[in-house]
Amino acid sequence: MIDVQDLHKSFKQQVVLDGASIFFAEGKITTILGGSGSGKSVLVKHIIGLLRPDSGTIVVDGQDLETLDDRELLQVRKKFGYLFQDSALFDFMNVFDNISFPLFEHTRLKRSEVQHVVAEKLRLVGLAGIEKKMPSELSGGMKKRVALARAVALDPKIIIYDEPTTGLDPVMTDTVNDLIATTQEALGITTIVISHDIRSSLRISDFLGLLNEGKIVEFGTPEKVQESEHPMMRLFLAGIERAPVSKS
Amino acid sequence: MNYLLAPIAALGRVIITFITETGSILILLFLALRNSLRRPYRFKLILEQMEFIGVNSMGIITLTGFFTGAVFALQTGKVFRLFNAEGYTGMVVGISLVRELAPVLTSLMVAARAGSAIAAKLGTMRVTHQIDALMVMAVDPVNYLIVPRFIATTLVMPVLTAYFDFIGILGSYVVGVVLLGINEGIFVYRIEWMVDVGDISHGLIKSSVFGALIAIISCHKGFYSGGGAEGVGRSTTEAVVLSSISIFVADYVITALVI
Ligand SMILES: Nc1ncnc2c1ncn2[C@@H]1O[C@H](COP(=O)(O)OP(=O)(O)O)[C@@H](O)[C@H]1O
Ligand SMILES: [Mg+2]
Repeated sequence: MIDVQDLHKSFKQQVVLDGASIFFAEGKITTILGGSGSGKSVLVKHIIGLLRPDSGTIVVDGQDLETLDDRELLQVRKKFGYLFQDSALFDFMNVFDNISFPLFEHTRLKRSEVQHVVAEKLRLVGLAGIEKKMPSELSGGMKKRVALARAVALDPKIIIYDEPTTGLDPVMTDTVNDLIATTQEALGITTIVISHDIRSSLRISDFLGLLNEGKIVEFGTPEKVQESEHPMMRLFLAGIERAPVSKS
Repeated sequence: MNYLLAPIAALGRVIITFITETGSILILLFLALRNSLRRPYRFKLILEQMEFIGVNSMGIITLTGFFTGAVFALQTGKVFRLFNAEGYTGMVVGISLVRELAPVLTSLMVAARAGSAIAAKLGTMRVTHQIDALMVMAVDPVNYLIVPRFIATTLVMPVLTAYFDFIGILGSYVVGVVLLGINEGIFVYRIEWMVDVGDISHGLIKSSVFGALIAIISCHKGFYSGGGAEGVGRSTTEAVVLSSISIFVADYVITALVI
């Protein structure tokens, strides 16, 4: 369970978060929607302690991040898996070394056990047997899935997906969405998705929050959020209705 | 009024940039030093970096070392011949090489080859979020990326410099004894007479300081790189330029302090 209360964050003059509050329920998929540059990534970077807030509180599993020093923050981070928008695989390591990296860093597993875990995670993302490949040999969608395998290598309690479907074609988008849902089901992890893809979000989320001008202005189940009168949410929802028209 | 103030404002900006940059490098140096004492100790990464920085620089050090010694012997030999003193050629070349030329030129070569590679590598990792990836996987990037490069460069520089000493003197021997026909016994005897352990260690210790400078400056440029591929290119150039300048400044300061 993660509770964010009244988060404020500015970079120099630019106010990015201006009193954002949101709640992430255990074992559920919660999506943060918002236009690009609205501060979605900044918000989740606070949750894993990559950024420190100007003011406000973040509580992860009962621990107030404010009170933790750098080393304790490292411990908190081990609870998280994080899937970057651009995958952020280590380009100088092959797939096996990428996925096994957190295992060798944070566990005392033997090499044979690590090989076993890596094979299992690759199977989970539908890419069994590509351990020897380098990231440069993989397509964008495959990289994303390898990055997901790496993000869940340590069986995190919480996983964050930063724009998992941005820039993917419709088929790949559905594949990744299914993957998010199956990963959540298979591992029962608390899932945080950042997105501006309302169609995917409505399909997979248990809860949605809309970030606008530094605040979460709308929060609720997909059914509730679709009824929203907030102009920004109407714009997002109108995007779906417009989509078939713009095709012709 | 603006005409008068503009240059002052510009000067002020330069000074502020210089101070912030220096401060930021010193903070990273502090973090790196503190972190070198902390677990996990990454011996494998240190060895990899020593190989990358050291072994892979041998070729270029061999060439520059040999030709530096050779051309220096050619010049001094020609002048000393005017006084019938060409026997002193080896000694002058030897002492200059060991105390100044070897540490400075080796460091410049390493700055150009390894410093640029370090900045490019860390810069690329920064702009493609690989450094963020380390952080979210609860791995301290200073410990994983900077400490091994810092230790490796600092340790490897004296070895490369000693090798430069040897190759440089070999180059001067080839020119002095083989080409200019200086008596071999006198040539070698004068070097031994002039150059002592103190001179050699003076050069080696300096080179170690230069190595630390190259490492921390190049790591800093790469680590705080921004602005996409273009930004990485800029950081790489700045790493080499700043490392090279700081080598000359540090060389003067250290030499002035010990002489
Ligand atoms: N480390 C940073 N330093 C300065 N500005 C930043 C930083 N991170 C993000 N920003 C700014 O904050 C705003 C929100 O960014 P971000 O959270 O990445 O948006 P998005 O909602 O698209 O993920 C952007 O204008 C961005 O330029
Ligand atoms: Mg973002």
